[in-house]
Amino acid sequence: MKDIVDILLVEDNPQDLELALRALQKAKIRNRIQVARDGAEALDFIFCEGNHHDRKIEDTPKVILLDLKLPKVDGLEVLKRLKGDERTRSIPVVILTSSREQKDIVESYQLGVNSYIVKPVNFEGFANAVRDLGLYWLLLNQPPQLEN
Amino acid sequence: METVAESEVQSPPKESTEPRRFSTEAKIQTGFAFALIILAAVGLSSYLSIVRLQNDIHVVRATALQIEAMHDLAAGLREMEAGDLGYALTGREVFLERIRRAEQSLEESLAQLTGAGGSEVFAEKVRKNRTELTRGVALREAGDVSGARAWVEDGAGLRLYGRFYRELDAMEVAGKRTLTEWVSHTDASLARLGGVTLASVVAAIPVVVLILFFIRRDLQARREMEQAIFQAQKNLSRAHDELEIRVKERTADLSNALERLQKSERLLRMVTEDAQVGLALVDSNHRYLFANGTHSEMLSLEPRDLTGFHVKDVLPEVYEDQIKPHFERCLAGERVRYELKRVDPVTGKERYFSVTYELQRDPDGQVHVVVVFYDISERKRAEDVLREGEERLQAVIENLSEGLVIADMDGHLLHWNRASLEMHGFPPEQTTGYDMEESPNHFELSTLDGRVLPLDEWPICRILRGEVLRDVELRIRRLNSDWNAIFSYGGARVTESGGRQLAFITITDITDRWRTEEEVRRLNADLERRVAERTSQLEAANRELEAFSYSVSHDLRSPLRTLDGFSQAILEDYGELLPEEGRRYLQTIREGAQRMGALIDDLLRFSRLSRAPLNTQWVNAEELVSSVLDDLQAFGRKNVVIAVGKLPPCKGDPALLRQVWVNLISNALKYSERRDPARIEIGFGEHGGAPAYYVRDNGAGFDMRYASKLFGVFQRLHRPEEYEGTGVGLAIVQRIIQRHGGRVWAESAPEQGATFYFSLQSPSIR
Repeated sequence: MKDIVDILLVEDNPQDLELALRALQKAKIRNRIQVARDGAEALDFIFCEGNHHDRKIEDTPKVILLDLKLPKVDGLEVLKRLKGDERTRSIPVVILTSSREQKDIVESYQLGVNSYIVKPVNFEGFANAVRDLGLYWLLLNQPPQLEN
Repeated sequence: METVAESEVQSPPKESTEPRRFSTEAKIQTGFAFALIILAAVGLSSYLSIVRLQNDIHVVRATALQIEAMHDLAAGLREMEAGDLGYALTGREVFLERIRRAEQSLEESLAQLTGAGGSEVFAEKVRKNRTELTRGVALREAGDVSGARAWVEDGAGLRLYGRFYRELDAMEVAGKRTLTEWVSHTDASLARLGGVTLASVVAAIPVVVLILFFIRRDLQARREMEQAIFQAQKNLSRAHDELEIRVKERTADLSNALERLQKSERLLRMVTEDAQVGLALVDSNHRYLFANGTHSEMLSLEPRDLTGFHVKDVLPEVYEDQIKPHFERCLAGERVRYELKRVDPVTGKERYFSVTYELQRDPDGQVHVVVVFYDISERKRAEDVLREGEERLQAVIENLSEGLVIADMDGHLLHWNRASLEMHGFPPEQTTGYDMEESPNHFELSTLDGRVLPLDEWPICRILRGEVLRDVELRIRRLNSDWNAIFSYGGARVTESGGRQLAFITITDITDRWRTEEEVRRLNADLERRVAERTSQLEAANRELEAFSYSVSHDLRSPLRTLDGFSQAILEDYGELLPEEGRRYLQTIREGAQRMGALIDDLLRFSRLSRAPLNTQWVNAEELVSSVLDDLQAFGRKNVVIAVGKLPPCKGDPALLRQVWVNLISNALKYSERRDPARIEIGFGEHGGAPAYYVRDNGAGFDMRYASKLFGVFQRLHRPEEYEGTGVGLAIVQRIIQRHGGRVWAESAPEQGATFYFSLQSPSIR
């Protein structure tokens, strides 16, 4: 049961990561959070490969917070893999990015993202966004039940 | 017909030139004489022989009759003997009957015998012994049967009868002898007669044949002659008939001719009198012999008989200088034709006549002049008009700047106008250029891309074939020099009123134009190439810009977020430990970071404006403005008076135009917020010569000296602590308006408020 993760946070920037975690904390979200520092690590975790090979793929996180600009495998690619796989398609994914580029937004939605949040410079805004997201997805959203 | 008939009339056959020794008649006479003589001789001799023969035959027949009679007599006697002896012996009546029949037969035989010259003696003897012969009967009837029997049995009776029988036999023998003699005699006579006859006939046959031959020959000749004569007569008669027919025909012809002559004379009179031409006959002394009605009519003369009048008296005004000289020429033997010009004495108008004089000589040597004339005034006038028209046309054609060449259907180039000669490099005084056929020896035509055309494809040939050409641009080159030009050819086949077809070829020298166009084409190509280069450079720049802004969007904002975020964290976690001053500094750091974030966002928005394609459509400006005012909550503010005028719809990208309105109105609100009341006026009207929308406020305004900086990025005319802002809003407005092909400008003075105008491309506003 220790492997069961509520939130997968994919963020390469350590400051942003710290701020995000702080924001989640301040929002009193005590769920288990797994952090991935790049796209490849995120995929390893999700598909139980590499360091996470002993994990079961059925233990999907309740939500994935995904930055777009990531080392190795970028966020859109990760999203594509997730939504292209039957087993992981139903995991809610929230893009959490600095990019306001229309191109990124459109592509993300085309790939089937559930939400798209632009990180504001203002920390309070950021903290509010993170808090709202967490609450919504963890408390209100009822993910479809997989096989069992 | 006549010649045939004559040839059929044969001359009668001529007498044979061969001398004839005997005429047919003589031949016949001679022949017949011979024949007669021969016949006479033969006949006579025959006759004599026949006479003798008859005599002989007579004797023979008599003797034969006698012998026959002797037989009958003998038969009769035997009958009688039988009867007599029978009765004598039997006394039966039957025998009597036989005796009666025998007596009768006996008498007939005796008569026959005597009739045939037989012995009367014997006959007498028989008759005398008649009683004796029937002695037996007599005895029996007398009842003397024994006597009668004795008569028989004694043989007296038999003896008696025997005597007669013997006598008869003797007589028969004698007769037969005589008969034999006479028969042989007759045979001899007959043989003689036959010989004579045969000889005569044999003698006569050649003669007769000869005669026949001659006669036949003569008859043949005669028949032929008759035939010939008959034929000749027939021919003669036919010739005669034909002659007669011809005479009739001639007679009819003659009468027809006479009739025609009379008719033609009538017609002639009619025609001459009412002819459309004036006719007159004038003698060598210039005196009229005849003039028809038209003559007087055309010349507007009093209707009178002109015969005998001198021409000078009839037409005095034109006689001396026009009629007389021509008339003299005609009398000198020339056929004269000229145009007479005369002022009509009635109408006073000039009239023209075409006049011909023709000399005529009577059979008796008299000389006349036949005058024929007709009015050509109309034609003359028409010709004048036509000539004037033609001259004008000719002048036009000659002075055309376009070349014009006219050809007939055989390809002969009939006319070159001056421009066409000049164009081809012919001297203008040259009357014509080359003909079509020889042109290829001097010129070469090719298409603009260099294909040399065979003569068959030259414009002239195509026009002659019936094509209508227009703007056929060809290069023409002189073969023996480096002269060349670009000509544009046109033309068509045209049918003249007379039915003749001509080909018109128009030529325009477009060498200069073509060179200019070529230059333009070259420049265009160059320009296009440069545009393509620029475009690709621009695209590359755009891509770079995109990458740049992408990176700005991500990477520049991240440190700011860190600054702000951790400053906030310090304030939250350790704010109690910091003095008031320290908390204020941290707050300032946060503000700086947030302001930079706002600047980056504005900059990114501004750069996106340049790249996103325009989504142009009709936009209802009033609705748009009203919606913007709602969004800005402009009406809710204290001390703000907003007036919106009539705004026509315009064409543009609705989202971008919305941004324009947002920026301008929020600016107005911002800079007038210290006024009480702030007045904002939104409207549309003519400004600076163009229809423009405007937003006016009564706010701070600005110094027009700095107006040029107004729309620059990050350019501000106020200090930040006076009015917040990044200095990008008006730059965005200008970029949007520029992308719509419009213009934005402002009018203001410090503390006097400001008015911002913007126009769009004129057809973009209704």
